[in-house]
Amino acid sequence: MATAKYSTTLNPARVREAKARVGERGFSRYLDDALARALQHDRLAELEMELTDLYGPIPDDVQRGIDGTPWPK
Amino acid sequence: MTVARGALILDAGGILALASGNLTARATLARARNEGRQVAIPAAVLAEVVSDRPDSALVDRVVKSVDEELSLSPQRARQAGILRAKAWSLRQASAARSKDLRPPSAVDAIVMAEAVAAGAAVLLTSDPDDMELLREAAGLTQNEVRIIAV
Repeated sequence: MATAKYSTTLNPARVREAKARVGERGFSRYLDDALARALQHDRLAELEMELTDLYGPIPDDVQRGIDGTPWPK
Repeated sequence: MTVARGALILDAGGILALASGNLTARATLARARNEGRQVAIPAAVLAEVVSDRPDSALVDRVVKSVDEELSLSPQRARQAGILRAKAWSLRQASAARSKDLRPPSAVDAIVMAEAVAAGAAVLLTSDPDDMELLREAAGLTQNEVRIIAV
């Protein structure tokens, strides 16, 4: 995957915490992974809205059934 | 790349179910997103669902929204091959399953190999019987790999 350098502004406390977890060298990867998760979250939210427009809302009992099943973590 | 622990992994049936508005599939996706789980598609699955037909627009929309394709490494391909062979042996040895005498597909085995590599995962699939057999071949249970049928 291609990468490039960017100048950005971050909360220093969060940067310290992140670097304490993954080290100086792992920080860019950690940040990039977090960005990927955030972008996917937003894209999936948009997809869910499109599917709701197309097919209607998910009935509460269906969602409760899925939410009530134990999932591995 | 290894999929994140606890991720939701989609096979071809899972993608098609989302595109066709299947309620179980949509509720599963909503839960995964709400819980901040990664959603991923093994690249081999794309061979089963991607086409240039006009009616595949929604399938493409689902794939592009996920945008997390797991490329197939030689190591993962070998793991999938071993799983598939074990599953096939289990099926041949089981009188109860003898009515369905065929091995699980290579792509299904790749999907399960990705779930195994994650350590814990949720699978959205239209082929729960083969996935359960592959999970059994991997020596895992629903505590590690939850299979959701659509």
